[in-house]
Amino acid sequence: MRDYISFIFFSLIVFMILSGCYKYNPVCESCVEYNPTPISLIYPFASFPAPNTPPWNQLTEEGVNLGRHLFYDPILSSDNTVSCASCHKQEYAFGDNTQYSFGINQSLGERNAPTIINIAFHTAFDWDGKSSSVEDQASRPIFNEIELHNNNWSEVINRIKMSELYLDLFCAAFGTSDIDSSHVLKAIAQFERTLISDNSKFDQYLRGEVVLSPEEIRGFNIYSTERGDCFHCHPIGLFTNNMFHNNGIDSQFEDLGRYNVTNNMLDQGAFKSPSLRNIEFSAPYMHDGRFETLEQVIDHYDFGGYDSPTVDPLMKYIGIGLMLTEQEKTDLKAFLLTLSDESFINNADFSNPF
Amino acid sequence: MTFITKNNSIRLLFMFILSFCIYSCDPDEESFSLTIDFKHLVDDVEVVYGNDNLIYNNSSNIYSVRRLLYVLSDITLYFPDNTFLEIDDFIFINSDDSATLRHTLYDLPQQCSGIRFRLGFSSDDNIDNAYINSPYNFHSLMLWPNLFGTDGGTFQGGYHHLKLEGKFLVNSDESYFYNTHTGPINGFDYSILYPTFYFDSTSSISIYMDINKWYNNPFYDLTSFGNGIMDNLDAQELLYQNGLDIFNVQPNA
Repeated sequence: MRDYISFIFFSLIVFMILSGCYKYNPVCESCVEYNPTPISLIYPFASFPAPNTPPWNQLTEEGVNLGRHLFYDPILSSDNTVSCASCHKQEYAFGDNTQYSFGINQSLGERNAPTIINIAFHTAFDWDGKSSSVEDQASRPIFNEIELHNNNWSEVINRIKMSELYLDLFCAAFGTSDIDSSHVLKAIAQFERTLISDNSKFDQYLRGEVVLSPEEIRGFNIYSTERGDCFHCHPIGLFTNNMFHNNGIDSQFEDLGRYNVTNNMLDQGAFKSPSLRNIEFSAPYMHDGRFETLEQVIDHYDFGGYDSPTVDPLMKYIGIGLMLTEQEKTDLKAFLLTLSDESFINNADFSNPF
Repeated sequence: MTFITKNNSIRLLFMFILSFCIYSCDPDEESFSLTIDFKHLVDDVEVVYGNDNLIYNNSSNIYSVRRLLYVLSDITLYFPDNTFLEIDDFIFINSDDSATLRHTLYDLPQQCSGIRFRLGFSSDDNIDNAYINSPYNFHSLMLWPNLFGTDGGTFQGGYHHLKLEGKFLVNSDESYFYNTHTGPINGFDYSILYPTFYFDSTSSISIYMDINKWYNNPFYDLTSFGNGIMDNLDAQELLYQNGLDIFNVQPNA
């Protein structure tokens, strides 16, 4: 009998301990029936590689919707003033129209905000490639002191949990109301992977839907031959080769670029070749936004660039110059403008949901 | 007297199946592999990539090698019993990416005693965007433009065969970049299918490229051709001729 009482007593204690460990989680209705709708990206299979979507972050309508809200919501910044979209504006092909962008407290960035176009298919992220994936890239501005300037994830998550909006959105996207950092990054990455631009005039030309003007065709020939030699770093398709090059804009470097990531001396002054899609909307140009117009960019390459120990051999006209005629420059610009995709910068699915 | 119970029957059946599976595996069925190292020489000295140090050498040009990229396709392996195996995949070599400087071919029936390959792709295989999902960023790095349908129809798409880049000396204090890029133009296929290289059967070989030979026989003057040779028929023809004997294959010690 004594043993029996001891057993009951011991069991009670164990039950109480286990009960004490139980953490209350608010459960929303959508979590009860978690049934997200998968999304398959639609893109030109012939000229785009397969998307780099990790198996652990497959796209769903609910995940993309959550990511879109987070992308546009200043709730991710420490003082609720700045969002991803503050620097990556849809009308500028998810880049910015100023040389540098403002973070919280009017802090000024140090590089031109890169565009976010077709990054589901990219293999390198940021101007210097320091991010290994879209998810990884999405985390960096959150803690950068001149961008969203948070100190840790818990303060970000706490703000999100305080919002009435997000409980249902996270439940629908991930089947849990126990929000953590991985859910935030996965959702933003899902939204960013949907930002596909494949309906420019040049895309339509490749599909046989429109014809290019004689001027645009001449520009295409300059672009795609060594007359202009644009295609080596910006090949047709994604219009980036996902590589890092010193393109001769300086002979000495204030910003060491890719070198900061690799510590390889040859990477000094090298930056990722940006996609030229929607280049009409993404001025100013280069990693430091030094060129305000496409004419200035073309003039740089026509000049040939500045020599340095790390300048890329593809800048083979250094000291010589392309020697393009004014007509050729006009033609080349005309072709570059065929990469504009109005349906991308006006796509309602990509716009601010608030 | 021992009775075989129902449980024992199942155990016996299981052991029988297990034994059958084990004994049906042929212990003599061994697979082999071939590891290929790619080495690039100037005057028998292996090139150190990624700098513009000019190499004073026995060719007609003084040059440096910043980077070298090329494709080997139509690879056929030969075996001592006179059988051969055609490899479906191509091999991409990129001096900027050390992972591409050694390739291993697995699941071979025997040790190899010969290899044949093509520099670049044949016309049949050099198809626009055909290898868009190949590893090592192959597509973006080796894409050959397609101007089909325009007046500049020299290029019909596909991929470069080879990209050799660096600086060359014009005079004592003047040097410029060169881009020796080869590929198909005007419908001509400048890929090179080499005769078979034979060696003592082995699991490890090195394929050597003698870079000087690109410029020696016949003489290819970097100064005269300058840059932008992709659509220069004369340059491509000369490079084709020079490329016929650039490779050597040796078993590794």
